[in-house]
Order: sequence, then structure tokens, then C-alpha cells
Amino acid sequence: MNLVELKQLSVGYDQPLLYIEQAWLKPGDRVALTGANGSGKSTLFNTLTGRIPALGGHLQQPPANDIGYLPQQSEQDRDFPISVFEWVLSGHWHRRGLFAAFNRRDQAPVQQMLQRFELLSLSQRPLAQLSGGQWQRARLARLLVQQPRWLLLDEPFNNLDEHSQTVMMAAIQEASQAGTAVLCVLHNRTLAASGFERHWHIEQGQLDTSAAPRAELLHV
Amino acid sequence: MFDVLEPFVEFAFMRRALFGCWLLCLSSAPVGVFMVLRRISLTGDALSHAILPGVSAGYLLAGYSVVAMASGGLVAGALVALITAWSSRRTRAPKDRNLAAFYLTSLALGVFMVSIYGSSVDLMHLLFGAALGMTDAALIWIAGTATITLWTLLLLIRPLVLDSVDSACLQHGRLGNLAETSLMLLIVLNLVAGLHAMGSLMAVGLMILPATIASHWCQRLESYLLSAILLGAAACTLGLLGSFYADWPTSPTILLCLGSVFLFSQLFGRHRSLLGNRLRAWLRSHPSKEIHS
Repeated sequence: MNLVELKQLSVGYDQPLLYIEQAWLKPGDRVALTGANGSGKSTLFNTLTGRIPALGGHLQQPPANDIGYLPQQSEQDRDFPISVFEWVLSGHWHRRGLFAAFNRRDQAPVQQMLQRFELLSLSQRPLAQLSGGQWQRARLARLLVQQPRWLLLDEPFNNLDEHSQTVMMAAIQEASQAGTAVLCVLHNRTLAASGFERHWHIEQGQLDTSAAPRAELLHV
Repeated sequence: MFDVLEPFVEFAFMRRALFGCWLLCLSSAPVGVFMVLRRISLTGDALSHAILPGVSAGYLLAGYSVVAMASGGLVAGALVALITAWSSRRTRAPKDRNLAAFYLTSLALGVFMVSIYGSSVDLMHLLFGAALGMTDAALIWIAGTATITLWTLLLLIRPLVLDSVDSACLQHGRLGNLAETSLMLLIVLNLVAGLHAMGSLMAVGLMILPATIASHWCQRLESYLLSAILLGAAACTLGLLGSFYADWPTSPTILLCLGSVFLFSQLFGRHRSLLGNRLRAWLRSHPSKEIHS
């Protein structure tokens, strides 16, 4: 049973930018998505996350609460005065709703996740004091606390130190082994080849779902 | 020392003014904290101009009636806020551009109406308020606003925080839009509540200045909110006393008190200040002799 299915899907803002004949993901699939700048990767993500409607075709995916989306780093404001622990804990908000308090059962997975991402010693720090790599790890930790069935990552490894990359990649692989489907926009061919089982590539407005992670495709 | 507070004991109008201003701080300062943290401080300024035609219409229809003017202001401000949010989402035009265009039109309409049908004394009253003449209707209006504001913030605090840090996170629920629109409406509501005490131009100061000062000292949301409220309340107390003893205009005095604390914080605050970090580093490298001995 496919978790995500895209059939004859046409995406774009006013004009179709990208056409997808057929593509699918099963639970636990890890797929790297590549394509030149402006090829429609972000537009596809905006469609999948419901920010813009699809222009036509069929899109089947889990309900919004089961989707974890990690946008690029520039979209966040780290000056907001909350601690790393509170930030990761906020991953439970989807399930807890607007009012319900957090209990011990909510806090335990947060502690585990902070340890998993090597952030435990920083848990009481304000977000603004984290380095770029630590902040990116905290963002992914928060998403994984939600236990999403479908994880959309938009260039998560950009400008990261090697250690943060390794920690994050291990966590992504662990999540996918637990059944989460992952679609990840990437520019790094080593990472695409080593960390992902399948590879989708966008070229000339079409999505190629059988592309191999070749060097020339990833030089974007 | 407490003799200086005597006017609040002796005169009912001073107690009413103090009570009204403190209530206003309890309501406006938390809204201001979210405006500052979401970097929409100037939106409040724009909206304070946008409520003017409604206030003028209320004034022209019913005279100097708090309820009529406030209702008019509320309608005009809410219309501009909602139309801006709606048209920005629909047309993908930048929000600041839409807001600027709408509020300028609205401001022009307000000034046009007052100039044609009212007098310049009325205009001054609208712009700078009259804190010392706090009527029952004004107090009730402020208390209602504070109640609505605090409940709304309490109910929406999670989406507001999440939407402030990572607005893309909420792209699939409508909660992000709800949080943003509610905040805009709360800004309008509090501007209108502050109209009588502070005037339409000064009301926004009671939102922005305490929150901006807090941003130089606090790193937790709770302390931000608490210190913004307390700072606002302290400034209001000083402003009212200045008004009583020296006959200074109330709302500018309140904002000038806050303004001077802001300048101090900008220079010596714990975070993002011009000299604070250097000063603390210097103090660490030159410990006092008493500590040594």
C-alpha cells in the first residue's frame, strides 16, 4: 500500500511549472529529490504541504497532522525567547491541541530526542544561543517528536558541519526504519547516494523517478 | 516618600486614571510583546492611523462619546487589518505594501472628515487623549478589552509562538492564519481602548516601548510579558504624577518615561545593547579591591 501517490500531478503558481506522470512512496521509503534552482522543487513542496493548490491531477498523502515539514533555515526567527527544550516539546502541540498541558509521557521522548541529537546539555539555552548546526538539529528533533508518517525535508544539510550532518542523517535513517517515508531536497551527491535508497530528479518540467544519483545530475 | 503618591489617595479622578492606565498596560503590553517578537512593531503605528476615519465618524455622529468613537475606530481598524491580510494572501503582494496603502487612504479619509466637519481642538483630543478625564464608559471599555485580550492570548499562545518562530510549520492548519489575524484584531482593539487615555497616536507607544525595553533584558517569554506590563504600569504612574504636579501632558509624559528607559537599555541592556557587554567585560577584568582583599 502506497503512503503517498502522485498521478498526473501538475504543480505551479499560475502556470504549470512541473508535471509528474506517476510517483509514489511506501512507508519507510527514503527518497532524495534533486533538480536545478528554479526547477520546481520548492513549488512541489509547497503543493505537498498545502500552501498552494495543485493545478491538476491526483495527490494522495497522509492528513496534515501526520506530515512533518522542515523548511529551509531562512524562514525561521530564532530570536523568540523560548528554550531548546520548550521548542522540541512544542512538537507535541499537534496532538495536545491548544490547551492541554504536557505530562511526563510527553517529556520523556523529548529528553530522548535531545540526547539523540546531542543537545541535552543545551536544553535550557534560548534558541538564539545555538550554532547553525545545533539549531538545525533542534528543528529536526522537534519534527521527529511529532512522529510524522511523511517527512518532507527542504535542503536540511545546507551549511552544516560534518558532525551535524552525520547526527541528522542517522536520525533520518532511524525514523525511516520505524516506518516514516522521507522526501528530501538535496544538493550533495555523496549524501544522496549514501543516505537515500531512491532518487527523484526534476528536469525540463518533468519528474524522473528512476534517476540514479549521478554526479552530473547533482551539480546544481 | 509616599507623600508623592498622595493625589491617588485624595482624588477620585486620579485613582480612576491610574486604574484605567494599569488595566490598559495589562492588556496592551502583552500584545506589544508579540508585535515586537514578530517584528511587526510598525504595523501598530500604521493601524493607529487606520482607525482614525472610524473614530472621526463616531465623533461626528454622536459627539465626544467614548462608545461611538471606539466602535467606529474598531470597525475601521478591523476592516483595514482584515482586508490587508486577505488581499496579501490572495494576491501574494507584500503585506507591508498593502497595509501602507490601506492605512494612508484611511488616514486621509479620517483627517478629511475631521477637517471638513470638526475643529482642530477635536483633532488634538483624538490624537493625544485625555487620561485624567477617564469616564465610566472608558473604564468599562478598557476592562472589556483587557478581558478579551488576555483570554485570546491565553487561547492562542501556542499557535502564536509557533507561528512566530517557524511560520512555515503551520502551513497545513489554519491556526497560523488564525493566530496572525487575531493578533491584528487585538492590536486594533487595544489601540481603540487606549484612544481615550492615550490618544490615537500615543496608544501604540504603550504596546511597543515596554516590549522593546524588555527585549534588552529578558530571554524568557514569561519575563518578557511580566516586565513589559510592570514597566508600562510604572511609566503610567509617573506620567500621571507628572501631569498632576507639573501640568505636563499625560500621554507624552508616559511615553517619554518609557523612552528614557529604552535609551538606557539600548546603551547598557543585557542583550543587544551598544555598551552593555563591553561594560560587563570591563567590570569582570577590573574587580573591585574589596573583593580582592
